[in-house]
Amino acid sequence: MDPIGLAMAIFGGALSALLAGTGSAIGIATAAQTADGVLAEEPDLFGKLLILVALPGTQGIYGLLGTFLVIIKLGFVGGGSVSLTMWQGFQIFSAMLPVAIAGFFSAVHQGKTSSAGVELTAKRPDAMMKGVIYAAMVETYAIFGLLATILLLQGINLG
Amino acid sequence: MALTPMQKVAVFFPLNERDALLAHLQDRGRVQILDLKETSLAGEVETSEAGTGGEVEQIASELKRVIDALGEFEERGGMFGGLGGGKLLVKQHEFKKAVEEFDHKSVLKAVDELEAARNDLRQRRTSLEGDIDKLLPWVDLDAPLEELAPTRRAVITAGLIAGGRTPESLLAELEEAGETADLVVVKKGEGYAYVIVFYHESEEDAVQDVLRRNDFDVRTFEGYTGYARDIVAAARDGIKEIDERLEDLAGKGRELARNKPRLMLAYDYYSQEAMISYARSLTGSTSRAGVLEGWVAEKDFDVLKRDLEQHLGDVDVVKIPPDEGEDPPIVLKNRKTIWPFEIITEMYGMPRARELDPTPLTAPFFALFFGFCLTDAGYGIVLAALSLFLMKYIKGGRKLLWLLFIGGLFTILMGALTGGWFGLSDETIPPWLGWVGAMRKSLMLFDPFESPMTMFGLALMLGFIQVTFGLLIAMVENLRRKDFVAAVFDQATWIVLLWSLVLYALTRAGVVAGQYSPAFKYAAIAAAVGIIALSYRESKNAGARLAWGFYNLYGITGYLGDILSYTRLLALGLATGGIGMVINVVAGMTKGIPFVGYPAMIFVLIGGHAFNIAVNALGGFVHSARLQYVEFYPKFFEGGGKPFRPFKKELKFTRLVEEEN
Repeated sequence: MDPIGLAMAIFGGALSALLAGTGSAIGIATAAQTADGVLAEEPDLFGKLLILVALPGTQGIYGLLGTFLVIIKLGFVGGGSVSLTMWQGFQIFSAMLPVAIAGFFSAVHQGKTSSAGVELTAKRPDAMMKGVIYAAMVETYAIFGLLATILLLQGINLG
Repeated sequence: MALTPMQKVAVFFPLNERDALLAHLQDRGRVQILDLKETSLAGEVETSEAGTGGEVEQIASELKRVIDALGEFEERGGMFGGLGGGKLLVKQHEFKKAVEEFDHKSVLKAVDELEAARNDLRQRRTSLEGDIDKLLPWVDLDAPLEELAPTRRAVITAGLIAGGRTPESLLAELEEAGETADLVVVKKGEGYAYVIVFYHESEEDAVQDVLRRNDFDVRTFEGYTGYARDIVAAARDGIKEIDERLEDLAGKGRELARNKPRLMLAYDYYSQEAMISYARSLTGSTSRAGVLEGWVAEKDFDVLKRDLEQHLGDVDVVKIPPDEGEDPPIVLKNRKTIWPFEIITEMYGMPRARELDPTPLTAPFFALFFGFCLTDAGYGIVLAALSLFLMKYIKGGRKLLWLLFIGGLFTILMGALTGGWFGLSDETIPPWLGWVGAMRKSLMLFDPFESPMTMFGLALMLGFIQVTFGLLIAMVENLRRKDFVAAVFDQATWIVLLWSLVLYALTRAGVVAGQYSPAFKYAAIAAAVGIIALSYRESKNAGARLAWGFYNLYGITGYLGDILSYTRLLALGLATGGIGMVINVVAGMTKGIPFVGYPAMIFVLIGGHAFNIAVNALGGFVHSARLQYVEFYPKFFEGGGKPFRPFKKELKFTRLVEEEN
C-alpha cells in the first residue's frame, strides 16, 4: 500500500468533478446571462431557454460520474479501500484527465454556443431545437472524453 | 414513405364576397394562399400593395401591449375558469359577440393612463432618492445650502476626501499653501470625510493645487435652498407619499387585470382579422371578379370545391398547373407508427419536391439510438407512461409525446438487455426486491459496466450499418434516376469497400471463417481501384481524374470518423446508468440519517431519478438527432423544400370549441 498511489488516484477522481463542474458552471453562467436579457423582453420563452441554459450542465454530470467511477474502483463505497502501488495511482490519475479537461473546455464553449442559441430563439422561437443541436455538437467532445476515461479506467488492473 | 401530392388551384370570386371567402378559407385551413404579385398572373390583374394588416393589426398590437402590461398585476393561480392547455375556451358563435360587446378602447385608455401615472411617480421617486443620496452626508451642516456659494472675496467649496487623507493632513497642507485657507469638517467616517474649505480668492491657484493633489472630490449644491436636513426629510416624506400612491395604482391595476381574458379574446379576434386583411393583399382583381391562387392537398381539392360552392355560391375553383420552376410546398405523409418521427425531418428541413422523405428510414435508427442513450428499462417505463399520461391531459404536442412514448419502449428494450433497472445492481438491490434482481438477470444479455467493450462494439456496428445503409439509399435513388454510373462508382464501390474491409478485419480476428479472407481482400482492392479510376468524372484528363480519385479514396477517413461518432451512444448509455447508480448509493447513505433517514432517502431517489431521466432524455434526443443529421442524412438527403403553410386560424390565447348541437 503506497500512500502516494492512493493520493494520486484521489487527486484524479477529484479533478474530474472539479474541472468539468467548473466548466459547467462557467458555461451555464454564460448562457443564463444571455437568457436573462432575452427574458426581459420575452418572458414567455422561459421554458425554451431553460433547455439551452441547462445544456452546458451535462459536463459537470460527466465529471461527477468520473469521480464516482474512481470511488467505486478504489472500493470506498464499501467503506474500505483497495491497495494501490504508486504507478497504479498515476494510471488512475491519467485516466481521469480526458473527462476532466475535455469536459472543462467543452462546457465553457458550449456555454457560448448555447448563448448564441438563446439569441436565435429570441428572434425565432421555433428554431430553438436547431440551436440545441449546434450546442450539442460542442458537447460531443466531452462525451468522447468521458468515453476515453471509462475505457481507460476499465483497462487498469488493480489485482 | 412519401410526400402528400399537392394541387395548385385558382379561385375566382365576386369581389363583394372576398372577405367572406377569406374568412371561410381561414376557418377551414386547407389552402396556402400565394402572393399573386409573384405569379405568372401578376401583369394581368390588378393587385393591391403588399402589406400589412392595416388598422386591425394596429388594434391587435395595442391589445398585446396592454395584455403584457397587465400581466404584472395579475394575481397568481386560479385566474379564470375553463382552462384547456392554458387557453381560453370559447364557442365559435360567441367569439365575435363577446369581442363586440366588450369596450376594449376604454380599458386600453385606462391602462395607458395608469402606466403613465406610474411612470411619472417612479421618475419622481428616483429623483427624490437622488437628492437623499446626495444630501445625506451634509445633514449636520448648520447652514442653508445656498450659503455655500462664493461671496465677494471668499471662496467656499464643499467636497469629499478619502483614501487615507484626513481633514488634519489636508488642513496642514492648506495652511502651508495660503494663510487664509481654513476648513470645517461636516461628517467624518472611517477613511473619509466631508469637509468645507474656505479661502480668499487671491490664493485660488495655490489652494486649488493642494485640493487637486489630495483628490478633493468637489460637491456643488446648485438649485438647492435651505438646510440639507430639511430637504432630506421632505424627500423622505415625498417618497412615502409616492409609494402610497403607487400602491393605490397597483390596486387599480389589479382591478383592470380582471379584463385580461376579454382582452386576450379581443386580441385573438383582431389578429385573425389582421391575417384576413393581409391575405386580401395577396389576391388580385379585374373589373368584375377577384382571383387568388394557392396550393391545396390533391385529396382535399374536391372537398374544397364543394365546400366553397356550397357556402359562397358564386365561386369557381379550378386546377391550374404550377409555373415553370415552381415546386409545390411540402407536407410529409407517413403511417401512424412513423408519423411522430416527422419531427426529426421537419427540424432538419423539408425534402424538396422530387426527393424522398427520409422519415421512415431514420425512424428505427432514431428510436434505437434513443433507447441506447438511456439503457434503463425503469426509465423507459416512466417515460412511456408519462407520455401517455400527458397525451391524455394536454391537447398540443401529440407528435412529440408519441415520439417519446416510442423512445420509451425502445429504452425498455435496451434497458432489459443490458440489465438497467433504475440503476440497480446486484449490490444495491434490496432483499425485498429480489424478484427485480432475478428478472434483471434473466433478461440481461450483458452488463455494460462489466464489459463496456461489448457495448462499444455494438455502438460501432450500429454506426457502420447506418452509414452504409445511407449509401445504399443514395444508390437506389441514383438507380431510380437512371444514373447508373453514379450508383456504381459513388456508392456501390464504397459499400463494397467498407463491408469487405470490415469483414476482412473480422476474418483476421477469427470472428468470420478465415477461408473467405482473400475474397474480401480482393473485393476491397477492386472497389478501391474503382473509386480511384472513376469517382471523379468531371474531367477528361486522366491525370486529374486519378489525382482526384486518390483524394476521394482518402475520404475513407471521413467514414471512419462518422462511425466512431456513434460511440457516443455507449458513453451516454453508461452515463445514464452510472448516474442512476450514484443516486442509489447516495440514497443508501441518507438512510442512515437519524429521524429523517427514510423520507430523505425517498426524496433523493425520486428527485434524483427524475432529474436523471429529464437530463438524459434530452441528451438522448439531441444526440440521436445529431447522428441522423450529421452522419446519416448527408449520404443521401439534401432537403431545402418549403413547408406547406395553409392559411388558417392561429389563436394565441383562445381555443374555439365545437358547437353543441
